[in-house]
Amino acid sequence: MMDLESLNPYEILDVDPRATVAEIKRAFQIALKTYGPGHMATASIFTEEQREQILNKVHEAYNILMDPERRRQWDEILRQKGLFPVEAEPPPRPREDKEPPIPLAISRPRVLELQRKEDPAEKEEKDRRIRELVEEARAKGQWSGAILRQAREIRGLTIEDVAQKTKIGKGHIRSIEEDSYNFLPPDVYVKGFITQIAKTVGLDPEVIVPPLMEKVRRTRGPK
Amino acid sequence: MGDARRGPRAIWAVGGGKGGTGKTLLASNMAVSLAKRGFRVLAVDADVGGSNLHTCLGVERPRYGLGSFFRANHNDLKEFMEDTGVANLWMVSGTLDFPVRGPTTRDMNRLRNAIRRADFDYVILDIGSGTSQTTMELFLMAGVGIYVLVPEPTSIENTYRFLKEALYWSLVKSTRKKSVKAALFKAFHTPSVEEFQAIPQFLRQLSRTEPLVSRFLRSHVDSFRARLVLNQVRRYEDVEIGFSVRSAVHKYFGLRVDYSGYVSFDERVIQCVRARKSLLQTYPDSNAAKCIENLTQRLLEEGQMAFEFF
Repeated sequence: MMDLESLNPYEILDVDPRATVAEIKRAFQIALKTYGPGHMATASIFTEEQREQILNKVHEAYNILMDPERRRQWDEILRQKGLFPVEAEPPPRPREDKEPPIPLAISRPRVLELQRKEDPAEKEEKDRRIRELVEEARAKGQWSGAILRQAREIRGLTIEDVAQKTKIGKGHIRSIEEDSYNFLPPDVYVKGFITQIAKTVGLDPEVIVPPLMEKVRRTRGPK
Repeated sequence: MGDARRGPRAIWAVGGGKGGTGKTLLASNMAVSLAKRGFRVLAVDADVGGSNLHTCLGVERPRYGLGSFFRANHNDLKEFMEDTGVANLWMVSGTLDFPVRGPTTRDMNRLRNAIRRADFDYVILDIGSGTSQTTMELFLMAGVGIYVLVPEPTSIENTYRFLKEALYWSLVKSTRKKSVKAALFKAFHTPSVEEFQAIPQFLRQLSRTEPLVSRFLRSHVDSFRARLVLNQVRRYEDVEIGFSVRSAVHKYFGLRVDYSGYVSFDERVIQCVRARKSLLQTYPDSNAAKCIENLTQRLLEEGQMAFEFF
């Protein structure tokens, strides 16, 4: 097993040093399960004692990273050691070119993508891909929540991001994207949700909402 | 072809310690996905003796197979490939001639050389299950080594075994020094899991006696990169298993692996195998197909799974 003392809090929680607070919370939840008793990922390689040791470190790391001051101190240490990741390059823009895309060796964390100012050419390209999605759906006459997800992914947004902007529950957004309407509130609310989400991911609500609501009504039937 | 470039842009090897985790499903559909993006793709069934990649790609009775390649005396895989019915995608079947004679070391060396020189954009290798040296050599020759697991304890246990084996071979092959090989053997061959020392500690110890070799091995470990793909995901908690395994691999080996994606469990996968067609062609709108498309995209961009929130 690794020497736990040699690991920094980010390594303990298995997150990128640029992770958001939400991501750290999520990583902590997963780590609690992973190093809790009887988890299938750890049962065959760690003794109970080792598992407990890791779990202690997980709590310690979480407390550090949740405290802005202590986190800042750690970041400083990592920067001095050259271990804090530097800004990655702009995201790869292959696809649709004449030349097939060339795989890139750098993985970009999503967090940065959001903070960075989007350059116009890139936005244009995203808009174009989203227009294509709409055209395709129109041509096939097939509309589904997937178009919202695809547009969201093209924009590089997570469900969390959309939830933050629209103040709609993550579960609702997910349900709409997956066309599972059973646990959603009445139609008029759903209509509002779809409009909001569409605006956030840059789809025209006037185009998207009618066919999707048609689908909602067809799926759920009259109440 | 008047192309100055020889050999593929990248080789993707799909492995998995346990049978039935979905290696062939993944290899065939990722190959289709790459071909759909306009790449010229060759899928090679290197699961010699247990081959069925051709079935998943709709090639009913392959005319040639690796058996013919091993018997022949030239190394151009193009002579042994079959059309798949998917534009831009060809395949070499892994079928052997009757009666089956297992491939020799020389056969496998020839195969690896032929793959390295194949004039395609991507070569996808289905390397089959197990952790034999032949399998490992195929896994390690690929720039992109993909390991398929399912959310079950048996499969996860095999993942650790496979990674340990792969890392061991990759390090042993990198050095000629007998003393270092012996040290590696001793470090990896621990009687019980709790005695296993993570790689960084081993390298630190080694650096006392062999500083240069230790540094060299460290760069080797740093460049070792396996990508985990979780198949047969039935619910959200299963998706988390990938993060758990990635974390456990790091805490146990001191090794970073990628969690590249997951594929949801889909009844239609079985229907496709029965219909002898790839999922991406038959049910492009199914969840599993979309997962594979996303996964392929992520592998092309060398990205990883991001946390999702509930």
